[in-house]
Amino acid sequence: MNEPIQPKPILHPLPEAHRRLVEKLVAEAQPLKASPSVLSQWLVWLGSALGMVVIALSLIGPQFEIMEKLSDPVSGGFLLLAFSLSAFCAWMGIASSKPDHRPRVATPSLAAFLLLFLFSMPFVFFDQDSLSKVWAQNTADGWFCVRTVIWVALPSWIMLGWLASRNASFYPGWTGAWLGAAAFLLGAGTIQLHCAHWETCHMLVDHLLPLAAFLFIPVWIGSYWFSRWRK
Amino acid sequence: MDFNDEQWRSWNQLIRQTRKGDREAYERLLVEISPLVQRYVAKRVFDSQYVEDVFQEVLLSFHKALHTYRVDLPFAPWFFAVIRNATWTALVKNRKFVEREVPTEDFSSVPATEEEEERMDDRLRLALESLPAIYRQAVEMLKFRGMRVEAAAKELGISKIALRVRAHRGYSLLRKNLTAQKQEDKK
Repeated sequence: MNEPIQPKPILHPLPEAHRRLVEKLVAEAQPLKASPSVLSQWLVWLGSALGMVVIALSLIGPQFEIMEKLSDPVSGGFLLLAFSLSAFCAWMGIASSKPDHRPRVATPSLAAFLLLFLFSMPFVFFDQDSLSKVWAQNTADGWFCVRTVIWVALPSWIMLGWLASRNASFYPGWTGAWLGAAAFLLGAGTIQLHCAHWETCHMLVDHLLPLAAFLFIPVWIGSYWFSRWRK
Repeated sequence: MDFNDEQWRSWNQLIRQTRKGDREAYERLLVEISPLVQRYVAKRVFDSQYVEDVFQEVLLSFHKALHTYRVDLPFAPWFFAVIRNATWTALVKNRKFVEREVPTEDFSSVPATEEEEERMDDRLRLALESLPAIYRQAVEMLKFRGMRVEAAAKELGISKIALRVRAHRGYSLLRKNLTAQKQEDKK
């Protein structure tokens, strides 16, 4: 007759279900590769984002008056805000994908405020145009600006998703939202370096709308993808 | 047990060894942190029947998040942040499950005819066979073999919450499959 298997002495005081769980987890233990810090992951993204912007601009070219636009406080401020908000969102997205992330009300509120400010800038500071003009132009050039925003945002979004999926997010929806915002803001900033149309409707529809319209996709995919580690 | 600096340093050391694949160190770490996790969970989960479930979920999350701990940083802040997030997530998951649970009293009590039952049996068998293995197993254990959640979870070596979630997903898929079959029959 087989002798009943005795649990190891160290596990003796534990209740049955608990002991089984510990044994199961210990059996799964293997050498682990440490996940990089938030800073190093963010720097990797920053490098790739800069590369993406440079590649995109070398293909489509910067606008003719780029230096004037950069030195102008309003248009320069718009570009600075778009890129720095993108970097901030990327940082927050990577940080929120770490399991020890402590969510705060202040950071999403600040980001939402800055995003609203960015969206309101075309109304306040730039020339007015009409939606019909924007529509006619988009039909003529095949929605070039929207396509460029998406093509610049997509690799950046995939890169961020890959980085964050190696962490362990307890807030997958938020991680998705931050990363999506980071990628599409990068796209919006990049196209604004190229596009000479600094008019309200064009900026909103062709440069900023992809961010608002597609943000739910990163949130939805992120909610599924970044919670996979727990399954 | 007093969780002093010495204790935290010792756990940091155990994690370092665990990360290299030392199973004994990991076992010791799990056994030593368990009372602390249990106390933490018990203080935050008011419904006593869920304390054990949440505790197991938290320990599983700790296990899966281990690779994100940076050994050059203090262990305590990372540890408490992880178990706080894991406790919260387990509670939310549990609340969602309870909200969606359909009490068995709500099911129709009108008996079916023999022919209807046979046809239903075939449909059910087909729908059940089309489920992914883990969901089918959970549904079979709870609904066909009439096992209790505790016993079924123990047999599968998973937590009660995990089993309930699997069963719940199984029921949803089953319902979807049966509805699709019914619509095909109508055609």
